[in-house]
Parts: sequence; C-alpha cells; structure tokens
Amino acid sequence: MILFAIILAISTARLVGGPLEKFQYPGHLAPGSFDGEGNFFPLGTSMDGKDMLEAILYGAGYSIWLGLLTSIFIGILGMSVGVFLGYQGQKQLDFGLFGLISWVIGLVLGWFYGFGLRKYIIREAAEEGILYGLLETFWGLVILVLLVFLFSKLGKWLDQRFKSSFRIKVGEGIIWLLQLLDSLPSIILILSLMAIFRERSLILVMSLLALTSWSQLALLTRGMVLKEIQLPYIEAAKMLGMRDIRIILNHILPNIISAVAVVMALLIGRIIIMESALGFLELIEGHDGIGGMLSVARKHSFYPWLGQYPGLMLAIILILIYLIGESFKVFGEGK
Amino acid sequence: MGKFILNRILLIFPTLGVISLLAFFISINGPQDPVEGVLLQVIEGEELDKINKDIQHLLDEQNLDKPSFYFSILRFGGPDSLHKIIFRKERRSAEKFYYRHGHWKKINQFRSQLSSLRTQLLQEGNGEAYQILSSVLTSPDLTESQITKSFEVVGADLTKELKTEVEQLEVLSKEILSLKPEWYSFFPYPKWHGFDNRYHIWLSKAVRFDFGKSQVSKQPVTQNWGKFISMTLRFTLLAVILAYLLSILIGAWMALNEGKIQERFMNAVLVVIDAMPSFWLGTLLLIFLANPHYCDCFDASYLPGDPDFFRELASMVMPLITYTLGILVALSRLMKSSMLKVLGEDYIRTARAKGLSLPKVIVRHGLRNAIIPMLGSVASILVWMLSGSVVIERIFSIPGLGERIMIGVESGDVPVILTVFVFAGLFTALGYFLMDLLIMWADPRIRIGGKGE
Repeated sequence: MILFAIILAISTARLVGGPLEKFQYPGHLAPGSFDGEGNFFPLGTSMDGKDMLEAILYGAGYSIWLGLLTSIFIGILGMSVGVFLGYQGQKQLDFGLFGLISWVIGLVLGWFYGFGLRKYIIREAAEEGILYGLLETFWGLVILVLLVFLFSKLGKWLDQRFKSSFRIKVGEGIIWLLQLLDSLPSIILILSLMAIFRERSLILVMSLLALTSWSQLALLTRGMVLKEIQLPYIEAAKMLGMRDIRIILNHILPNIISAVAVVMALLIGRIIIMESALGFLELIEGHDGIGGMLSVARKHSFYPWLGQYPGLMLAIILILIYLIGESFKVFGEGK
Repeated sequence: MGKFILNRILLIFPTLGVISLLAFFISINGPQDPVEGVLLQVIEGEELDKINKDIQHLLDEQNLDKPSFYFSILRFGGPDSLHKIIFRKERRSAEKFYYRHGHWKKINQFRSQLSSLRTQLLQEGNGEAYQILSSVLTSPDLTESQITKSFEVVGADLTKELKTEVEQLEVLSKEILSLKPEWYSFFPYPKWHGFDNRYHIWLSKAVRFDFGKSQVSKQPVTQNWGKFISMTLRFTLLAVILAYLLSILIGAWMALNEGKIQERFMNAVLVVIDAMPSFWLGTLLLIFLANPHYCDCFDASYLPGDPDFFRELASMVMPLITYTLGILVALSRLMKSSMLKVLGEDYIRTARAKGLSLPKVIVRHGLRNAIIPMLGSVASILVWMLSGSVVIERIFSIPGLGERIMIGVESGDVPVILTVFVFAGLFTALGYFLMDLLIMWADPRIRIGGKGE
C-alpha cells in the first residue's frame, strides 16, 4: 500500500499543476543555486530554463500514467485472447476438412465485412484522429472475430456429421503466430511500423507499443487457463451445467488474477522503459517524459545534472514497480 | 536427432514468410506515393514525354501497376483492376466514389473520359483546366455544385467540340451522384490474380537480398551492408559471452550463499542494475567517463578501424558495459534459480555421499546441469540485444544495424527500414534455431530421445 501511495504521489505531484513555467536563465544553473530573483532551484535548471525538479516530477507522472494506460489496454486485449485460447483448449481448434473450409469462408467474410466494406469509415476516422481510427479498426476486428467464431462452430458441427481423417491444427498455428510476434525485436518492429505513418504523435507510439507487446500476456494467460481447466472442480462445474462465461468469470479469473498481476507489474515497467527509449530517440513529438530529457542530456554532457536526476527518477520508479510486483508474488503465494 | 534438426530447419521458413508479409505490407503502405512526386512536375511545366518516361521507369522498377497480392477480396460487380490506377490519390478517390454510389461501369467511363479530356487540354497548353479536372479526379468529397462549377469554369473558354464533351461529363457526373450502390455489391467476390503480383516479385528479389534502392541516396540498399551487420554482431556476441560468464559466476555464487547477507546485498545490487535502462546507463557513462571535467578515460564514440588498435579497443569498453549490464540481471537470476534447483537434486547428494569434495561436485555436476536452462535463453537475449542496439548504437555512434534503422526512420527511407527489419527477423529465426541446437547438444535427453521439447 505504501508503494502504491508513493507511486501515486510521484505521478500526480506535478501533473495537476498545468504546464511548466520557464525561467530566465536557461541551462546554466547548477543544482542548489538561486537565480537573481530569489527563485531556488534544488536540482538546477534544464536547457530550456525549466526548474529541473518540477520537470522531472512532470515527466515521471507523464511516463507512469502512459505506462499504466497502455498496460490496461494490453491487459484487456491480452487477457481476453489468452482466456479464449486457453478455454478453447488444445483440441477445440483442430479442424477436419469441412471445418477448415468453413473456417476459411468465415475468415474471408469476416475480412470483407470487417475491413473491406468499412475501409473508408476506418480511413476517414483515422484522418480525424488516430484514436478514432483505432476504435473503428477495433470494431472491424470484432466483426471479423465474430464471423470466424460463428463459422468455426458451423465447421465443428459439419465435421461431426461428416467424418474425415484430415486434421489441421489451426489453434497451434495461432499460438505459433503469437509466439513469433512475441519473439521479434520489439523496438525494431515498432520503428518499422512507424514507417507507414507520417505523424509521430504520442497516441500512435502508444498504440504501436500496445500492438507489439500484448502477445506475451496472451500466451501467459493461456498457459495459466490451460493449467486451471484441467482441475477437477472445473469439470464438476461443467457437469452442474454452468455456462462457460460463468465458469470463466467466477472460477478461472479469480484463480489466475494474482499471477496475472505480477506479469502486469513487469509489463508496466517494460512499457515505461520502451516509451522512454522511444522518447530518447526523439521519435515522439511533443514528448515531455523522462526519455526526452535524457536525450537532451546526452547532447550537453557539460551539465551532468541534466542526465543524473531524470534517470535517477526513472530508476526509482522502476524499482518501485518491481517491488510492487514482488509483493503481488508474495500475496499470491500466501493465498 | 536428424528429424529434430530437420523439423527446426523447416520451422524457419514459415517464420520468414510471416516476416516478409509484414515487411511487404509496410513497404506498399509508406506515407509517400512515388507517383505523386513525378506528377507534380506537370504543374511545374515539365515536358509530357519526360513525365511519361519517368512514370514508365517507376512502373518497371516497382511494378506499381500490378496487383499487390496473389488474391484479393473484391465486391461483387465492383472494380477488379483498380491496381492499374497507379496514382494513389486517384485510386482512393475512385474507390471511394464507388463505395458511395456503386455502378463501377459508369464511374469508370466518367473517369476515362475525364482523364483523356485532361490530357488533351494539357497538350493544348491549358494547364489551368488540367489542374481543375485533376482535382475532380482526386478529391472524392466534392459536392454536386462544386463539380458543376468546376466544369463550368473549364468549359467557359473552349472550342465547341470540347464544350459538348464537358457538358456530357457534367450530365454523367450528375447521374452518378444520384445513384446508390447495387444490392449485390455487398457480397464478397474473391479473385485470384496469379503469380504476376507485387508481393511475388518483391519476395523473389528479397531472396537474393535485393531490397531496391534507397529513397534518399538512390543507391542499392544493401550496399556496404556486411559492415553494418558485422559492427552490430561484434558488440552483441562479445557482450553475450561476457554476460554469460559473469552471470554464471554471480548466479552460482548467489545460489551457494542462499539466504546469507551477501546474497541479499547482491540481490539488491541486481535490482538497482535492472532499474537502469540502457539509455540512462549509456548517458551516465558518457557524462562521467568521457568528459574532460571528470574523467577523460574513454572516447565518446566507437572508433572502428582506428590506426591505434588499443584505442579502438578502449573505445569499445563503454558500449560493452552498457550491453552487458542490460542482460546481466535476467541471466544471473536465471542461473541462480536453476543452480538452486540442481543443488536440490538427488545426484548432487549422491556425489557428496560418495565423498567428492564440494567444489568438485559443484563444478562437475552442478554447473554443467545448471547451464542447460541458461542456453535456452540465448535466442531471446540475442533478440533483446538487437532491440537494445538501436539505443546503444545511437548513444555511442556505432555505425551498425540499429543506427541504420534510425537514419531510415529520420529520413523516411522505407527500403532501409525494411532491410533492417528483414535482417532482424532473419537473425531472430536463426537465433532460435541455434538455441535449439545448443540445447540439443547440452541435453542428452533430447539428443538421444529425438523428440524435442
């Protein structure tokens, strides 16, 4: 609880106060010095004349909240896919000949109605703002998944009616794809995907970050769910005629949530590092996070306080997040 | 065993297939339309022949007029050769027109008439009318009155023949604007394009490491590429070896001192190192070790091929520290946990009971078995290094793959970015293959059982 309070304090300390004030003397004031008008700068001033302490607190809040928001998004996406794949089990996504044909038809129809017909809706929304574009893409994805799901159910039914010796493992293919996405070097993947876009806005970078790092969580969640559904009480619940959604919400999720929380804590740390790294590479426009401050510091090694304190703040944040993750672990084991 | 290796080799190909699909998708969706730059010359008053020649050159080089993939999912009764319209803005505009009003045949007729009229006017030297008609072709959101107005402006001072043509177009446009899409156009229609498509051509070139020309320097992208790769691999491999040696020592030491005060202290040190991302560590090293004010021990950037060999070696120290510390923590923790597991095994107790001394047991039986899980992380470590190289090479100005992709991103040079991406994917696939081989070599259960996993 104390750790949470510290994180919350750091993250909100300066973020609520509005934009930063610029002082007269840019970049020359060492830590612990006064300027001519009696303003005191405990950590010196930054290159463009901001109070370093304020700027660091602002950047820290910025980084933490961005990491948190992105991780929540990744958490929802990764966990739902993971729970779905895990609950379906290994065998559910194996298809016979008819099942495969039906699955492919579902894929084609889903692509057509989700994206082919809605191309202009998505493109127009993306021109309005990347967030709207993402929302429309998400709806397209929902249509795609629904249609594929419906047709794979139909395919299952057809497979049961007409037995065939042919077997293809679509589920394993999906998992292989997720593993591949997880194994590619993430920063290089993000930089390559950025080549499509002309803009370098924060929201774009965050969505690319989310897009490239949800697969790990999905795979981990899937593993946990697979382990969980082998336990006898799930079978008992199925025997009692409980519906799938109720089993997932009431029995599986509460049992895996503490393990997921540990992974999520690690994920938040990783997202903050990645976001700062991209800021450090000056790939985010209008970036006020710690990464951007460090990239300034690299160019002016004459003034060491530019680099020392922002990085120190980042390290403190990361250690706090690590400790929170550890306490989740202890909490999970204690239960 | 042979089957296991074959299986792993075969698994590389689908991996590369997915990577190539992704890379191709990025390459055709770049923010810049290559045709647009050429067409802009029309407005600047360039000769029509030269422009046609340029466009033909572009077509030969990039196959822009071919379908992009083996098949596409079209709309029933809709356009099936949209890829022939090479100017992206015009293509999107035509597509959007169809999306709103259906009846592709009429739209196509309107478009072809309009563009032939446009060329005719340009040949007569009427550049203004050409631009107005072009704007009708490229902007799909014009209202009926706007289109009528632009036709009126164009038709105002034309000969009688051309004027009737303009009027015909005006009537046609009004007809199209009043239409709604046909009911059957809401059904999909898959079409097979055959092997003469852009992806196929791109892939067959990429297999021969031909990734086209850089958009900035106009040189083949893969020129001097061996240098960049060797530069990145040099640091990566050295750092991997260093980190493995160090982490085996640290991990084993921590496992042997489990629970003691020095182990706790080491653990805390690892947590602190873990919280220092490479960009901060690199910046700190730069500030304190390559700064005349504190300690001018090392050069601020890597000096490849410096005549003084020891100076080059010294300039490698700071990047190597940054690389190594970046992976040291995870590896040490892994080594510690696997060593702890091994120390609890029966065979260690047996060896001790046999009367072997503790150091001998640890080195002979403990370390050897504890290293196997470490080998399993080689591939992911290599991948992490590739990601990290983007940042670290920027800090220490090392001309490697990571710096290359950054230059590509900064100048919007898509072929350069994609080449790095494909190479990174290739290294990833090879890294995982190498890892499987290493595990197989180290773990007799796989070597003899031949099943894998």
